[in-house]
Amino acid sequence: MKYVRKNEPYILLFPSFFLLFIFLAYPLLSSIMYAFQSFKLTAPNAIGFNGIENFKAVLTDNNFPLIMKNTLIWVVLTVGAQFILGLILALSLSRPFPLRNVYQAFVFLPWAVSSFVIGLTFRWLFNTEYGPVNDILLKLGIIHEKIYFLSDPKMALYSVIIAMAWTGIPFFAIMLLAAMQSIPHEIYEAAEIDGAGIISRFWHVTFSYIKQTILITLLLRTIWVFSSAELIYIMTTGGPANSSNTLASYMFMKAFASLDYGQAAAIGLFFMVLLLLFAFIFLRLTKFEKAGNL
Amino acid sequence: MNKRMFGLLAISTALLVTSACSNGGSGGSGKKIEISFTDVAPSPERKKFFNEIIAEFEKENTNIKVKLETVPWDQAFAKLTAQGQSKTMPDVVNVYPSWLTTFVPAGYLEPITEQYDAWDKKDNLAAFVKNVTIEKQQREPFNDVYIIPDGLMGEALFIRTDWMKEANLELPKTWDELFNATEKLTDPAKNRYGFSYRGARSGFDQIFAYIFSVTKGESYEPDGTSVLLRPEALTAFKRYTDIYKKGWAPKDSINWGYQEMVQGFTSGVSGMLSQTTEVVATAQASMKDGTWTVIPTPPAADGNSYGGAGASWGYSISKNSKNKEAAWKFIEFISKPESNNKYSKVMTLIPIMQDSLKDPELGQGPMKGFIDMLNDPKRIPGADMGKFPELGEFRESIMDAEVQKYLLGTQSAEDTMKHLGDFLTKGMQKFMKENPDYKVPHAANYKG
Repeated sequence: MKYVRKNEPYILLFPSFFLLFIFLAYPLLSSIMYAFQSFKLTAPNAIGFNGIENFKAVLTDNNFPLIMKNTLIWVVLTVGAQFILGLILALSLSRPFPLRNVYQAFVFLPWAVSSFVIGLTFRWLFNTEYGPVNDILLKLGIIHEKIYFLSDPKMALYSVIIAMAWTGIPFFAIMLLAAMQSIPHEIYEAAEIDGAGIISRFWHVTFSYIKQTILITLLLRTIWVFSSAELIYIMTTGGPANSSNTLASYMFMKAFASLDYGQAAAIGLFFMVLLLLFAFIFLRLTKFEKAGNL
Repeated sequence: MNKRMFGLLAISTALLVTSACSNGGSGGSGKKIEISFTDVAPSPERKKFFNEIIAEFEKENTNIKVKLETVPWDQAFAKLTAQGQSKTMPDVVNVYPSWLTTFVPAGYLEPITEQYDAWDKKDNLAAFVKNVTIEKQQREPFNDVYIIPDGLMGEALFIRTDWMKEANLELPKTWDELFNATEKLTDPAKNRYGFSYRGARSGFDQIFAYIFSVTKGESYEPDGTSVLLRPEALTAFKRYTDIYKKGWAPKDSINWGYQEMVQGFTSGVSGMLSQTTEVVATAQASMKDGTWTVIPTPPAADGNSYGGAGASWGYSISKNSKNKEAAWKFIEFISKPESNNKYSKVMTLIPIMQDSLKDPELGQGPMKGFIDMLNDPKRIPGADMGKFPELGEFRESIMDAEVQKYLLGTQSAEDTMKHLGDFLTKGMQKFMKENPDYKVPHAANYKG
């Protein structure tokens, strides 16, 4: 009895820690192990530790600089577009207007659609020969030459970014809208009495109050966008000739097309270090602990 | 690893034996013969078809009862192997042609050579079935016949007859005429292109089909070197990719896969399309009759055509069957023209009988192109790419990306073919070293 009493917290914590270990710690540890092994499903008899061979192979890969550049463009543009458009959407939804709930439901729809469906839809929309996007732009006279959205190596990545940005806008909008609705109305009134215009009301009241939410959503989205590969895989399979491959989609192909789990795990580990570094710098620069205490 | 596999096998065998015993106990006493039939690619349409056929068969043969069983495709090979091992295979099995290399040496299947040779419908089989699937792929390597194909698949050329007429061109009978027509049909001002080029998602297969015409259907040299390293393969590669490079296909087609290329043809953007039978239904639904047809893909310079046609599956009898006579009766019934035509229509496959041409739906119009193709006695299926594990990587992430680099002009044709050829050679030679009994695949020979 005394033993139980003494260890009560640990006994109660055990189930959750056990589950965390199975679903988080174990996969993480085993992927770290894979990263230092030759682990090709195509050569099951030659599985064994090979030091830093996998990292060497990945870093000296001819496609690697291009893929890093793509990853940077992919993350910055996607998250940037999602944030700005999401913020605008949240602001426009923050005040009541007729049928706001219905409108809200529609606007948040992209978030609920499977990315596989989104990928296929955009692949058709962007089709050069019979996709509606080109057709409409041509008929409106905005362009005079067809745009090769998915087949031009200079365009392919940006076309996928458009689709990706579209899916992510509602997430920002939901989060920011929730934060905005928690701002007490009196503060706006007080600011108005003090003579604050629309811009300074936004900056000093709205923005200050939702700053913490902005930071945490930006951090989350960056990590998610960074590691998301499915739209790229569905829309372009990383092509033409790797021009739309990012680190995440490249890793996916290494693991499930090349069946080289060793190299895929090495990319994954590299990936994790990058993200940890990013999260650390991001939180430092934005003085996260102090945010929201203005 | 081996111990565990053995354990699994032992357990599954034990389970199968017990289930087989219980089956035998209940059905053995009656006068009625019961045979089991396993379909390895179940789908609602197939199930409906088989149930109907079985009902007809049982009406004709009142003393035989057929029990339909199914096993999902992904598990089919493993399950049948376990059943073969434990002598509990169903009486009639639908097997995949390349499984013969495992099943025949292991003695799971009963030769049906005698029944085949005495079969009254034998001479009615399409030339391809008789010469290739029966003789070259079964009797030559195994000395016996084991399967009667259920239907055939193959690629042929979909072509816009109205465009050809406008341009005063004959339907192409050679590759030269085909390339010439591709160029002539192209008119970017009208948004018309000669060919539905496939640049992505296994687009390389279409290039390889043309390369077969200069390598006579071979994919490797006897020592395992890829034929892609031959100079004539390089020439063929350049010639075929010119369709894209010279603008005879839409610029967008570098990213086209199956859906886009079919849509390109049916929506009137491209004048030719190399595709399989199931596209016939799509084209019929969205295009006007008389504006298009299907013709056989042109032959190689030596007059043979080396195409990847083949049986989808084949009906066979298991060695452990106790009712081989009834089993053959069932195969005979399911293979007769009426049944086979029905099956071919359900599955959009090419029927195995020449008589099928008498059926208006099959003998005229687009399906005729496919049947003509397989009635051509000079048709030889090309060799496969091998079965080494790196092929998955090659197909998924290498072959199309390498060709795309050439199409975009960032890599020379020589480098492209060298990269692809070297990869295949390395994989094949490694596999040959590890499996000394393995023989390099040859055209029209599935032994290996």
